[in-house]
Amino acid sequence: MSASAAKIAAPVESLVLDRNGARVSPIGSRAFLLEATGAFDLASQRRIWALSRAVELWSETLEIVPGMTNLLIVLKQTAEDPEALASRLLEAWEQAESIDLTGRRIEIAVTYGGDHATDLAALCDRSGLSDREVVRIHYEGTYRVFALGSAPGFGYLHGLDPRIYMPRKTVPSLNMARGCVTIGGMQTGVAVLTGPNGWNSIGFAELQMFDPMSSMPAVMAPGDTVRFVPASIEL
Amino acid sequence: MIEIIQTGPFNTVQDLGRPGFRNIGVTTSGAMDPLALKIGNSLLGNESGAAALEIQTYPFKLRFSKATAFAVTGADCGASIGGRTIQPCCALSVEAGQVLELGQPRVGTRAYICITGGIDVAPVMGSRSTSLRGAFGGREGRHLMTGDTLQLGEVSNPLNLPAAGLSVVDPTYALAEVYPAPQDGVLLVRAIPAGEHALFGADAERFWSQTWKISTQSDRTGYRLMGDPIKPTTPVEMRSHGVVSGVVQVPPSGEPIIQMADANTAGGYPKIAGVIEADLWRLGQARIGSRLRFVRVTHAQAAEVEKAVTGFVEDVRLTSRMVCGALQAMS
Amino acid sequence: MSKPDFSDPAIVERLTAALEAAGVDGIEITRPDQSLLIRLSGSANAAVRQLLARRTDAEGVLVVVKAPMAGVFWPTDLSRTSGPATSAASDMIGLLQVGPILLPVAAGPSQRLRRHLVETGTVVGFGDPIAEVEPEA
Repeated sequence: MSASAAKIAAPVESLVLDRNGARVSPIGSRAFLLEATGAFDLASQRRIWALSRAVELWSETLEIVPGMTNLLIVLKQTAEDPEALASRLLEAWEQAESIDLTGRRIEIAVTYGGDHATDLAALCDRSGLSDREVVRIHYEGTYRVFALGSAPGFGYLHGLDPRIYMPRKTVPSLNMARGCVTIGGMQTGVAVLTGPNGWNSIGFAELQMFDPMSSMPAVMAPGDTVRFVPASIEL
Repeated sequence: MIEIIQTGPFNTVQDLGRPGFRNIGVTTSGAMDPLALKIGNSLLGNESGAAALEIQTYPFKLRFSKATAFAVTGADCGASIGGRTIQPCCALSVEAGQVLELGQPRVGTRAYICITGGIDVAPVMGSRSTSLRGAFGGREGRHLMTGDTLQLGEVSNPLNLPAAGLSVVDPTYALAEVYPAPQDGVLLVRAIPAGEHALFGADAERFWSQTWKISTQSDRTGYRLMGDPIKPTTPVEMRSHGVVSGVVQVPPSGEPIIQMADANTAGGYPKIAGVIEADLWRLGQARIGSRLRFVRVTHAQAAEVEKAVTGFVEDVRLTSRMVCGALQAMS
Repeated sequence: MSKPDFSDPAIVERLTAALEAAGVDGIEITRPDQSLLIRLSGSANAAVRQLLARRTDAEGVLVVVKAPMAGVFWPTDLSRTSGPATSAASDMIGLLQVGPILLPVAAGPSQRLRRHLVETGTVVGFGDPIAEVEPEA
């Protein structure tokens, strides 16, 4: 019996490693996700940024996708030894020292309320705050771009005040406009495409976040600091 | 140059995709059946990832405005050139003015029209694939329309095809050893358990054992499956993370979604499994309304399938060149 | 001297023996009413493939289609389940398989298949006769 045939006959175990504040699991045959299991904070994200820099240099890496206190690594081909790769990822995490990306400062002018603020009322109901308070708390915050993803140029912004936390919808809005300023769980962001969207809209911004023909297609980058400036408040 | 004479919606220019930009939210796109794209290009002597037309709505007709060669691979849709039916999965020379016509597929869903030199639309971020969601790449970031004309690229060493053309043994037949045949019409799709598999408790076993149906709400972005809902034992609020095509996510409805070529680059739904890379092309050819079952495999098994597929494509590339060379030498 | 009848197995056998003795691989004889092709394979108990074509009527001449290269002969694409008869071109004689590649063999303009001369799945060499075709009715 060949080695490969013996492997097929063996019981199939799931490959999830969990140790020292991080967890590695596969997505299909070529991708692995490392999730920091600790706090959802800037300290964890700084280590993810450091880990990204290390893993990017591995010869088997096709691409890396930093997420919110997690990192997806996509390999050029199916991992020959997935257990070894998962262990290596955990070791790299343990060695990943915090780095701080010195990003740009981005100011985004927002029209709060109005026709696009389809979920402001629901947010007020949940938080027990008035619409003015919700809006004020949102624009007084300072946010860091933790990662980009979901749609071209979309930045996941960290730093939301827990008072205006609002979980993602179970049934997404079918046609949310590009430019909607949204809250999804403990994150905020600006929709970059018109279409289905599970986040909660409280306002609208005109900023163009992505240009595919540019040498730097995305306006935001991980590490950038973002502030929302109320251009008008329509309540 | 070619001219589109008739097309349904959602037919696009695709190559092997746009990897490397998931970290700024750009989906990879690319052919839903990359194997068919590679085979078609190999038959013509093109680079295996040259851009082609992905046809998923029919009928489709185009006119060649200059003499060249083309291949139609993927779905068997009774293609004809100048009114003459051609073999499935076949490459042929054409004269200027000839019309290629594709009808409703008898087997599979997506056909690929590869042409010598490839479709020469401007590459965007390293790829000619159409990103319908991002509205860039391919033909002005949109699907093909009647009256569109497309330029063709150059290839340094095209194959000199025999008059009757060249075709390829059906990959499902040639690779029968690594691709199990459907059971009672149910496609077997191999997958590896993913991060939240254990969260589904007893429902996880039902995920593997039951037969799922591909719903009408399925497209290049993802396939929604219909069946007995599966639910995590405790609700989870995940932090957004990168995903790849093939990931099987379970939204609150309990009916899984398989992300496909135009997959979202990030997700937050719990993931129960990930389809292995080498089985994605079979999903790309699966019909809406058809049934599938997931088969749990290991990375080692996935690597074996991947190796066989890579070997097959290489064999097609080398043998087609060898056959064309031999025929020329003997004529 | 009367013309030999090439359809006579005894004549074919005698010719074959003569070719073998002379170390010749094969012979092709063509005349207006008949043609004969004999090819010998390299093995000791030389297998003989013969082909006889006869003038069928005043106009229609049977033509022999030969293998354009070595390969395995299939009358249809057996790798497909989707009814190759309807999808194949009308003047297709069959396919030569070389690894993963199928080389279609066509009858030629205004010709149609009369009969195959080799069994399905046979390995044929360059120039081996594989079918008889006749003008389309």
